[in-house]
Amino acid sequence: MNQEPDYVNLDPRVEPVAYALPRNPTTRRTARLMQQIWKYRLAYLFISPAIAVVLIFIGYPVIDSLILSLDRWDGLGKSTFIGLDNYRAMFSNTSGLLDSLRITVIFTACTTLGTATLGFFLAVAIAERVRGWRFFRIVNFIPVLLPMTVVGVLWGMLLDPTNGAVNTVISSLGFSPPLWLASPSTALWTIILVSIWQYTGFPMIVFLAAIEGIPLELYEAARMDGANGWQRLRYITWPLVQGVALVLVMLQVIFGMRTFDVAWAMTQGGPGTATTLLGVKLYQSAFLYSDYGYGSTVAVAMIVIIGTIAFVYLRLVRPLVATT
Amino acid sequence: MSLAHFKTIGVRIAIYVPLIAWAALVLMPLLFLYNNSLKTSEQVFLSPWSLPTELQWTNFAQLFDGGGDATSFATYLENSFIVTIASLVAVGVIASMAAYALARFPFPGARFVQVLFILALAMPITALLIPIYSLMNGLQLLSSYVGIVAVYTGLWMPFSILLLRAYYDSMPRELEDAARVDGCSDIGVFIRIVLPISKGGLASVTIVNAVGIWSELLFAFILLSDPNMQTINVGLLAFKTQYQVQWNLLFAAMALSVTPLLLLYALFQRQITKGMTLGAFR
Repeated sequence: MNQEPDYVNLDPRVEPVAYALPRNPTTRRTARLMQQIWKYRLAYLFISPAIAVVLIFIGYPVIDSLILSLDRWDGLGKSTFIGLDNYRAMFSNTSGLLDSLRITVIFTACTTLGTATLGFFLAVAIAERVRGWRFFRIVNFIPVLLPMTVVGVLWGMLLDPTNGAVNTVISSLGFSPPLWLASPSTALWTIILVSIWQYTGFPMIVFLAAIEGIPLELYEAARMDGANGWQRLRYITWPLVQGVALVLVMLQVIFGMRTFDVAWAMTQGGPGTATTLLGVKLYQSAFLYSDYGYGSTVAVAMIVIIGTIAFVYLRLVRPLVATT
Repeated sequence: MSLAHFKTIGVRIAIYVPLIAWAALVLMPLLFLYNNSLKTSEQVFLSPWSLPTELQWTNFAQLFDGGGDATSFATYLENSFIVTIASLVAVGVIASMAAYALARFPFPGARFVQVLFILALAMPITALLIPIYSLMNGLQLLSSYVGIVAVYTGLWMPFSILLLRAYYDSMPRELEDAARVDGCSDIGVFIRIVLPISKGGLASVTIVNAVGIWSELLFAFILLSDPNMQTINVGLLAFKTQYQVQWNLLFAAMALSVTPLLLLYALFQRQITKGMTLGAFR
């Protein structure tokens, strides 16, 4: 019954013109595909500039990183093929890459957890519609918009150990203030705090939209059943924003793993290697030590790690969220 | 309109405390910035928290003056505006066309293209720096508007397309179909129906992109080595290392970088938060 017709109409507006299709199944399929492509030629025309720029500025660099990672290249002369030497160097104990990875993971985990938790509670508080909630929503989002350079320089000054405004206050209260960026043991935590300061507004605004999307009847019903505020938060709000929370965490993890600016603007990776995130490591290898091959190896490591996270997100987390 | 998890007075006060604390933490550095941008260098150093005795507008004049071997901040600002606006136009045109194609035409390969954009979005842009640098070097496009605008157009493309596509998907098609019945071509439908209806979505995407592109540091830093071509945030870093003692000027320079963003936010607060939220839900 479902036999394919021997012709297709290319254009529904041109009524009875039919195009004969070949009888052979393979050529028939190809012909059908060609007809489809011809039918949607405008769509291809519309999408080709976008594909072109994405292939040139994202696709090609990814492949070129793979190739460069097998080379030694100082950025000026000819590159020489050295096989897997860069990878061997990367996994050796002296390269500092594992240390960089550890720093990046700590940075990412703490900023993700910090921004998501704070953002959630700020969103809950604003959704309560307390007096001035609009003000809080607008103001708390501002840091997200600020350039990291400005944020880095500004907090760097405020947190200056000797004459920074923060430590002046702390010591006037009689406490001994931390050295913040100046000490290897606190520098990483300082840039984590600054990042949390900057990015908490993003989860806040997303959680807020999710909470505002919850039907008020649910809360009314729960109130009738005698659920108190905490219970309503725990058993209505939280389960209904869990999916959004998962998406946010994945996004923040992806952003966190590729961070460069905050460390560069505040510490340039130091003191020592205390804040050498993977992004900083890549930058240093290539543009400070002119070892573009090794820098590309770090790039490949980043692509693999973040690609894996993104794959897990798209394949496992998103379908999960979509079904709940 | 209150969700009212909590009604008791004590708990409601407890809600205010973190809100006020966080707002103060957000506003304090900003006030610090603007306040110090209008003081003399000594005042900044000796009493960073006091109000200026006399407003030092000359700080800004000095920045614009450049003077000596320093690049004028007027140049930096101009570069930032040119690069940001040109990138936004390029991204807006190319992304809206691509998103329209994806949202309305089930062409062969559409799913593949969609996956390509999602993959591209997940790529760590930091990792693309070296090949893009050598590509731009090879094309002689270092320290040029064309070069940096092309790079930004590519890097911001996946995000913009996916967001706009989500927006088009949520738009009713009846008007487009009606126009087609009336004999309007697909291109005509796009220009006369789709673009006007979707201008809210396009505005959201453009403004979110504006914030990101204005603030972009890494690529601007690497691709724009000529001080006369640098954007304001690159200039700011250079200024910080060169003139570390002139605190007041550094604050004024930061005010110049931040103010356009705050103005944009003041004008388009809804679109910005909407655009970013849409991005997360997509």
